[in-house]
Amino acid sequence: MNRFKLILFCFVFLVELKAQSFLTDSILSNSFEEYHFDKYKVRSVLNFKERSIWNKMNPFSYVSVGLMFVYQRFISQQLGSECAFETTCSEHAKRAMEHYGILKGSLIGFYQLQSCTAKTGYDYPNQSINNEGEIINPVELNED
Amino acid sequence: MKIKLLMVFLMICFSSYSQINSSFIKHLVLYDLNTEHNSYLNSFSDSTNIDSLDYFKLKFYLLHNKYDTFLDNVSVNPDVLNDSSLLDYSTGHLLKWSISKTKSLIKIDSLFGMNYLSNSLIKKSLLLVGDKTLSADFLPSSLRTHFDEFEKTRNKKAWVGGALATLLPGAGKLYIGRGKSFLGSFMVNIFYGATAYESIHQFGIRNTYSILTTGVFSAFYLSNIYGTIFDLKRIKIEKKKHFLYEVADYQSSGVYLY
Amino acid sequence: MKWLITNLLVFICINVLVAQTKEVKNYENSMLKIEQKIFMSKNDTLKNEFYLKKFNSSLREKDFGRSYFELSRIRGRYFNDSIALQDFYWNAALISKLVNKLDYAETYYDAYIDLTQDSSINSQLLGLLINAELDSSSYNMFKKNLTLDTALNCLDCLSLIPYYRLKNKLGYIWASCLVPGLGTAFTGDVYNGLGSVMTIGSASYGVYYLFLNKLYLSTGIWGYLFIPRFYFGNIRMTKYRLEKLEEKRRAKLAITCELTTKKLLINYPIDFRLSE
Repeated sequence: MNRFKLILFCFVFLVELKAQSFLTDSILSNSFEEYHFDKYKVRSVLNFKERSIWNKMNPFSYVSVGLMFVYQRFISQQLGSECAFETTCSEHAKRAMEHYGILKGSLIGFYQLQSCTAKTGYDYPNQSINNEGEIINPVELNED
Repeated sequence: MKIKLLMVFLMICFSSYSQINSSFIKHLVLYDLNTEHNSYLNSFSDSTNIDSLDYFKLKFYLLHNKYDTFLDNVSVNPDVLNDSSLLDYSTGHLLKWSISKTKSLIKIDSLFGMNYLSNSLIKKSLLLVGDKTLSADFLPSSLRTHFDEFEKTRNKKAWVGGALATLLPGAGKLYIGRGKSFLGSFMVNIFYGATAYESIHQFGIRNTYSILTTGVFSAFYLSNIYGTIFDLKRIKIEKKKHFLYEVADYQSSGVYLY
Repeated sequence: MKWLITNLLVFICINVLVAQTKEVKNYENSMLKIEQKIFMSKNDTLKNEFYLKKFNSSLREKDFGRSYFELSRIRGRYFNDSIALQDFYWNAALISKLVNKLDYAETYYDAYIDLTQDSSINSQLLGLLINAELDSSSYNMFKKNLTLDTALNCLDCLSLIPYYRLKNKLGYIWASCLVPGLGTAFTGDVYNGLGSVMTIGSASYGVYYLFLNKLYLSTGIWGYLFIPRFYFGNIRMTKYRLEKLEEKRRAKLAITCELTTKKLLINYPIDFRLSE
């Protein structure tokens, strides 16, 4: 019986401790959360999962994967440019290549590159501009 | 006899046990107490025979933009389609979210309801954007300007834009309605074209540098043509959605759920 | 008749029993029931009591967002009991802090101190945590007005962390201006620094090679397009890396401060004051 009482007491004590530590953790995370250091975001590599087997076997696919990787990993940060669009030109080209294939995707990417000027936003309706003033440009044409 | 009396007694007690209080629901909506609102509606079990429960649940889904759940429940309980203000509100808000879902609501109304939406502004507008032969006389003047903008874009031809882009890089953009980025596109093509011309003139076509510059120039030039044709499709969808958004705004202004 | 009355009594007893067992001590159901009572009551004082009850229930369930929402409905002037009022002010200050509404947290905390003149370490700790996040002037004012316990002297880091800045930032930028890539390398990112040197070097050599081959138009165009972009891009990258370095060092300071604060919170815990 004494053993049982001891176990019960320990259980209640642990539950009480856990309840207290939850609030301590909440206070600490609330005070110090903004100082957590986020490492640099790593961009995903171009892949052709959505595409047919022809795209996956095509050597040009691998060339484009390699070129895109080299550009995004090493060269784009050297340029440090700011984009008028929500997704950057290389990211848009990558998604377009994944969706439409290499040729169409690269043409869409180059089209965005030559459209990216300071005044481009005036060509788009308000619903296409996000809160940060960037143009929302999805790759898929959604008619719905 | 005794058993029958007991059963009647029980039925009276249970039937008077639960009633939806609409003024309480208005109080919950006024103070934005969404969780309590959800709990209140869920507190009435499905077995209790309250007609208004489905009606209030549908209003709750609409208020919190749960349009999928709203549509699923409307098709199961089409009696709620008798409320015209609910239909006006729902079509207005659904149209801002999804065109196809609005069409399915209109279809449900025509099949199971009183066909109230058949002459509504939204249905006519949806037909209007799909059929060039229909007249837009039914539109009020405030919506007419948006429709005219959409009509202008709808009548534009992709081959004209492509041809203009072929003749003068960037001109296709002026035609389709992206005039502000014309200069950037034009200058880029001119610059790369000039470098390609100079290198071919100096070294001939078989030189590596000539091939590189010609390749870059042709990439920008071809993308300018293809991009114009591709962008025109995007612009047509944008203008259509913008027009329908304005119609939905017009329809749902002054219509309240509670 | 006797049969009917007996059955009626049996029915009532069964109903009450079922109702009691069915009355699930479910959080959502209890909140709904209190809200129904709020709706039915006409008296503001009674309504305030029910608002307080809802507020306390949500605190017990650690539903901080909900608690803050309920808090906005409570009015201090309808309290009759001063202990209930001081507990309310304490809870309100704490919950406002947890949902980052620091102005309200300060107001409720000041109201609590005015009412209780509480000089315990727990209270001072809460005050420090609230004022440190507001700004340095309110933190310094708070320390000045209150005689802080010596155990809390180690919490000065709370007010210093948000204002930590890297020294000599301009030096890094100037280094990048003079030698592209040098400033970036000094921030610790040696690979990108070398990359900058290589890209600007190769672009410059390419432009020079075009000039030597008398391709003046190409020289002008490629030179205009690439060299300034890489050069200013490198300076932008240095600035970005500096910001990241500052964030990293601030995060390190925050870790040590967090450990100190955690020790204090374990020794002098801050908790909600719920009477029931």
